Amino acid sequence: MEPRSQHPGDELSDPVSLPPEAWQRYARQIGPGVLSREAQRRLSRATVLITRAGGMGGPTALALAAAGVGRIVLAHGGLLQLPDLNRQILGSEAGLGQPRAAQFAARLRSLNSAVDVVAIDHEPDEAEAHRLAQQADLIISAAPNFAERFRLNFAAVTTGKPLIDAAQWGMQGSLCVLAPGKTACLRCLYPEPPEFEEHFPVLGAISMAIGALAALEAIKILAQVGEPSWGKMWIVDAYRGHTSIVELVRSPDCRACGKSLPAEPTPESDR
Amino acid sequence: MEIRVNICGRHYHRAEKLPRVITVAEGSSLDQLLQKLQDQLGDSPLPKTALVILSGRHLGTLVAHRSAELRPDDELTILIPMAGG
Ligand SMILES: [Zn+2]
Repeated sequence: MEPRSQHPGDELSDPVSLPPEAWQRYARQIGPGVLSREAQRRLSRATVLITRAGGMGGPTALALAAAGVGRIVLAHGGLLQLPDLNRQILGSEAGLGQPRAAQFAARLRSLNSAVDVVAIDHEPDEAEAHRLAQQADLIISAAPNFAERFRLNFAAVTTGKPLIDAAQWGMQGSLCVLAPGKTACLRCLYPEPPEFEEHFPVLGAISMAIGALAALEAIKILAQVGEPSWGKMWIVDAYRGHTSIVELVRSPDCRACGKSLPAEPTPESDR
Repeated sequence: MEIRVNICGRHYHRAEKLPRVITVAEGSSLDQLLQKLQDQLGDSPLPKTALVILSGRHLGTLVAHRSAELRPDDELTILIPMAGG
């Protein structure tokens, strides 16, 4: 049975309704302090771009599909390798050697067939990132290198879409919740491209923790509930059992969101 | 004054042997604390792009950050940038 609305007038404010089985599916997340029916409808109308959908982006996508986000566009190139399986939980042993994006999408559809899942089998370049960002309501950046992160950040800045940037190393992770033009952007934090290594140590448990936190922030933003952590970075030091929340400061000289907009695309030298 | 220091992010394990608390004189500046920290790290300096965070305030990177006077109970976090995947 469809739960009674927690918010009088919900039905009147949105002519688009969800089928009865949807209300049954989401019954445990509709209630005080969680989602209203209107919030659930907002989720069902939302599009989220996730790149990539590996250690962190995969659990994010899983949580968003379970929660009933309308459309998930996931971009992830390459073939699934055995060392991926310590954290890339959308994959499986049966999918080893197969393209990641298609099997990750199939896993999401098997969890919730009501979600429209779009698989992109490569990492978007600048033009495609911009186009995908335009079509999305929110962007999750969970890429292994800064060139890709800066590209997504720039797409978020130029389209004005919220960006959640998730990062990890070892047993630690960080999460930034950014509103371009209002809060700091990723380039405000890192004016110079940091060093990174393509193959780094990481435990799947931290990937999943950060990915789940990214999904929570996305749900709050898209459903318009709770208090999103706008302009903040969470640092989760699970190695030592310590967390910090940092108020990020916007840089007026930022090459992506600073005064001299329109900013230039990430130069090749930053990659 | 005792300042708690957290080194987080990429290669956090390299700072494992550092003391968790660094003692500085009353009225010391953030830069004096950072210098003391770098001295203790010896020949494995922190990267210039590391974020400097003082008691939850983002002050910039190691190479370009706002100055600050330290207060008792301050906590310094250095975040060496992480990516993901
Ligand atoms: Zn910026």
